[in-house]
Amino acid sequence: MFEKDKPQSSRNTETIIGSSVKVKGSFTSSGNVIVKGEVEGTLKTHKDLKVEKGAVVKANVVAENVYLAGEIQGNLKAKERIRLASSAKLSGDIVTKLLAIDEGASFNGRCSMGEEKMAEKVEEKKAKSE
Amino acid sequence: MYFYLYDSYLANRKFEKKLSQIEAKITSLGISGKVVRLNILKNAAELAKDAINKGAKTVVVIGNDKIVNQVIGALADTNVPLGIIPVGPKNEIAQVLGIPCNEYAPDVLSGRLIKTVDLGKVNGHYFLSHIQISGNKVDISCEDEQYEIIPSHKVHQINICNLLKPKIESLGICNPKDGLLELVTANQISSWKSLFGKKKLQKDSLFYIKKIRIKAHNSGKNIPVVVDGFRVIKTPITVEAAPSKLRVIVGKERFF
Repeated sequence: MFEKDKPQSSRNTETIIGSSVKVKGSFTSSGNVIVKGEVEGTLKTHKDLKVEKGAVVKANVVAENVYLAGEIQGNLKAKERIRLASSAKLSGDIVTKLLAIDEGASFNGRCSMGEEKMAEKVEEKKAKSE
Repeated sequence: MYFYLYDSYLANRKFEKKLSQIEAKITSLGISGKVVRLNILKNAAELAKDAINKGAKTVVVIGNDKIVNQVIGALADTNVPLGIIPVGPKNEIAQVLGIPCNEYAPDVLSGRLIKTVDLGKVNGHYFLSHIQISGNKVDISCEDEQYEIIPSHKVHQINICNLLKPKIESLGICNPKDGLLELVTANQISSWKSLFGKKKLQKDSLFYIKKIRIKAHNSGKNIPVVVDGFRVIKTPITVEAAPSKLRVIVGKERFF
């Protein structure tokens, strides 16, 4: 009747990149990722990504849902939703289904939205025209 | 056939009464077997291996975490399960496995609830609990060099955990059945207690990894690495997860 108190890792392998470390290279995760420090290279996860205030990600990012309160320098692709908090800074292109931008967020780049297939078609057209 | 391996510190008279109660319980439950006591001349791992070669169906260690960690190498990759009867202090492994102390442990043993757990492997040798490195002067390369983790000067301790996690604030419990190791970096929390030598550590980062290589930063002096709380080796080390390697008798109150 009562769910046994399982260790957190069995429910969800949530990676935390803390403020005292830097990750460099091609980082891939199957669970949620929280970034409080620095990442350089590429960052991919099958689940959600949270970039906290003060964190700096110099990478192309792919995730299911993204919450950005820190800084991303790179392209950002989310399968479902991206939310830019008021302290967010994004320099790169966005591809996502849904987008929410709080007042105060900074975004410099292109944006493709809607269903994934439509967004991919728009990206292809732009790539061809360039 | 049960094979009972007693740790050497149990020869102390203060454990006499407890051991009598344990032995009486073992007899009443019908799980008696061969008994060997460790001493200076006899190595726990070798004794366990010998017992398995002679047909032991269960190896039971009586003692604390140290003897548990000493025998796991002999039992890994075999079908022989490990039983534990914890006596005295430093029995965190038994606690995580849901095994009560002293004369209550044989009940768990006779219940024969067997689970297969992961081990870790460091430079080819198995470990059960965790690996600890003090300081931050290391290069950490993960998953066959796909990415690096670069610790800053704030990192005070680096741990790679399989079953037990060290005493660090806001750290949960490991899952020894997920096929992964947890790399945890910890920073020192400054408090008035640190003036009296009492360091308090807080979790900073947590990574789930299968394979990792650690070496001293800038080819400097090799750094000591503490394995399972008692064995000390030096960098460079290659650590990898070894899924489902050890069969162990557990209790219902286990943490996983």
